[in-house]
Amino acid sequence: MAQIHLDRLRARPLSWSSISSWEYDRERWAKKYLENVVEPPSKAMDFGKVIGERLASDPSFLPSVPRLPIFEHGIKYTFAGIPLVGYIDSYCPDTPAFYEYKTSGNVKKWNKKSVKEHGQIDMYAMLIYVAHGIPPEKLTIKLVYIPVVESGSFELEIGKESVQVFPVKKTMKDVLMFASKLKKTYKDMEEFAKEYNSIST
Amino acid sequence: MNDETSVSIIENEVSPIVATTQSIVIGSPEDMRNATEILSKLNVFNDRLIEDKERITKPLNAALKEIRAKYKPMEEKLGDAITVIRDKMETYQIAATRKLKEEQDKIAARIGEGKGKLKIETAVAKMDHLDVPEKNIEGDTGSVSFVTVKKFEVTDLSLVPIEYHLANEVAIRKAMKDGNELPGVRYFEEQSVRNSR
Repeated sequence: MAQIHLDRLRARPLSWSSISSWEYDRERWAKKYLENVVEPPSKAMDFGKVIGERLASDPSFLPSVPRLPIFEHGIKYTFAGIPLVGYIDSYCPDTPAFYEYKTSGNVKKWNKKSVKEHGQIDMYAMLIYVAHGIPPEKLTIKLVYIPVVESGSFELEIGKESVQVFPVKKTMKDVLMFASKLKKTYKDMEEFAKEYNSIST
Repeated sequence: MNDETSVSIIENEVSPIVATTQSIVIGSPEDMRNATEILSKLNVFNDRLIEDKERITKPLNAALKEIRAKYKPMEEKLGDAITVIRDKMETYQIAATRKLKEEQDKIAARIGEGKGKLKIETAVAKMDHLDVPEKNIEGDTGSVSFVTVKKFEVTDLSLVPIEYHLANEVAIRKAMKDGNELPGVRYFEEQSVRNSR
């Protein structure tokens, strides 16, 4: 059974979702990434997806949200034997720049500190460097926070708070530190997969 | 008379006077004379209360002072020794962390294409081999852990935005007493009560 779990881990490129799920709750991560149990997307995830699609297709929608020419720019790269994947919300190879959009009802979630420490930005800066050769110092990076609220009918809608744009600076050292951490994380995931005994087995 | 009785007696005597202070209105010289009488009585009771309290607390404080004096030399000796060893541990950790960061910076600066440059995979492998100072150290009696604490030092106050400045009220008060009035400060007078009894 250990080999099946390990094979499943290795067969699927490592995404930021997987890393953050691993950091948040390993058992839940294992259900999704080792047992392939499909979790129904949450209301917040669905809403975030809808917002992303509208930003890409409708320039008049939320005009205060900065956009770049390419949306959902996918990068796949195998780094130190680890298959990686990232889908960058908004990307421009010429500027060069990338923006990451975040929708949340928690207005305190995103601030200069949490943005600076958000590993997804390091991961995408790393992927852009390894796949496209653009050093992180040359990138214009922004995390765009779009506040949302739950309406009376328990549906999500755009909040009244202003959209907040956080510029982020990344260096080659940040990328290296992330890559080093990534290797350790993947090794831990492999060890966990070897030892993992699911309830269903 | 025990302490409880003493406090109860004062409380019984004082309570009716205290109650009148809530309703008192001072609108005339006569009212002011009445208020002076009430204030004086209250202060007399307050003096009695403090005297009563100190009859109990003074010997306790004296005993406390004696106990503290007995333990102070050894506490100071131990405190100094703890400070010395903590300082030495922190100095070592700061130096080791700085060295690690410098080595990481050097590796990061070498990433690129061509001679003398490193591929990112090689750079990460080099980084993984650097000596990282231990954050948790276990001993037989106890353990220590190092946490990164973000600190600050104001190096140029003129560059710090005004909302983060705190007026030096001690210096402003001294200047006022010396007769110097400063811009941005309002000077005014109030009447303060001094009660003699």
